[in-house]
Amino acid sequence: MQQNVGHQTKKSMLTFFLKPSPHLPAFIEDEQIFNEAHWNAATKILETNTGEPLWAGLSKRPPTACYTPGKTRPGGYNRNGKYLPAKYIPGKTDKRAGK
Amino acid sequence: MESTCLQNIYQAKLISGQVNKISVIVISDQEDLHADCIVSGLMNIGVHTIRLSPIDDFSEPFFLSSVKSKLLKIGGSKIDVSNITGVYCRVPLERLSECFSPRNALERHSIEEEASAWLCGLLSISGHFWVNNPRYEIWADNKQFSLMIALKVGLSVPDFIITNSLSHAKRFSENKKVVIKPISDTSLAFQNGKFIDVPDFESFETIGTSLFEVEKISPEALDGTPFFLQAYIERIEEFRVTIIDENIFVAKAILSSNQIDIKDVVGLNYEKSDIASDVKNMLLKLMRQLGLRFCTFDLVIENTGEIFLVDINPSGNWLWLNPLFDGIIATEIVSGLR
Repeated sequence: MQQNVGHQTKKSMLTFFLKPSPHLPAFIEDEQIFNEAHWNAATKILETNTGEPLWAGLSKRPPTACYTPGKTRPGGYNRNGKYLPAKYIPGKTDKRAGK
Repeated sequence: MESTCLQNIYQAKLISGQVNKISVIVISDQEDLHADCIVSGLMNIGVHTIRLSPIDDFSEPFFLSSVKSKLLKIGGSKIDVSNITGVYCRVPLERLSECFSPRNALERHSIEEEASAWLCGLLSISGHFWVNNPRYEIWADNKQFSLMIALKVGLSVPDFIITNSLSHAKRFSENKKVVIKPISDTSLAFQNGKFIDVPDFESFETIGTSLFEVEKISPEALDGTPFFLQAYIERIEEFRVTIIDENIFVAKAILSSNQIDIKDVVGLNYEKSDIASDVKNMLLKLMRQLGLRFCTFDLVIENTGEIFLVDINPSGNWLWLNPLFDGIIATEIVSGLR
């Protein structure tokens, strides 16, 4: 007997082929590194606490994956000294980690 | 050393009057390390660089004036638009709304629509200055479109179908291995028992390239969404090719497992390599037809020796390969912007 399936339970073919993301530890590690970095208004790049360009340290890594989870950026002062409230940055299939 | 060389060339051009004070715009978010690398390279050789971060910079004053010599002012930087020689763009200008999370209709109107429109206005800057022009990049990012162009220029592409019919999919996958991929750059995650588009930092399942196995499907639960199936190539080698203008960088993956998608391999390493010159020429032709100045390609060789193009990433990452090529990928991008 054929099963009755409502419209809401129907889904796309792709959803039958979801797979666990193996890159979560890398995302968490990246998040910690980014949290410890700061924006340098003069050089217009992110730098580590020791003043090294963050890109130079991270560029030796192989790619992770296409998807970066969302996160909340804490409030703080921007490069012009204006206070910006905390902001939620949505997850994205981004260009920083891994295509 | 490379940057010193470029700096000398640039200074010589300035002195000889071949160039005026030039400016480059870099459009990316503040956490994009690829853009950081390019900004460092440009500033090291003295190129006036404006970094525009769409999700960070709207709190800063800016204006574009047609009255005052087409003056563009962003934050504390002023440039004459006619002095712009390059735009390095790492965000999809026409899909900027994905970068914002408006709280209400007014905010959606004020930020998403109007800000996107102002940034799209930058497309009035001559098309060949862009790496890449976002309009062309959107087209090239469409698998169906770019693979069809690849076939036209003579590249081998694994057989593929796009369908929403299970019976067609079954016929296509008879007697051969087939993979399923998203057609677009869509993101989807399954976390804690529900589908979401933004997972947090807990384990989650996501979409990617997977082996198409009919027994996993419940036919009665399928909706009519189209899907992309491609013949799976039993690879003996896999290459990542990065091209900026006419400069080609080929890296070969050091394979140690049989993963369907090597992006699922954690800690994969690459080495410098090369591919046949006719394939390189076809890739250059493909880029010209797609209107791209920068692109990355995934190619595989099967045991017959035939080389197949399996993926095109017009905004693909390269920073992780830059050290392998002694920083020359970044140098070439910087060079192409000034």
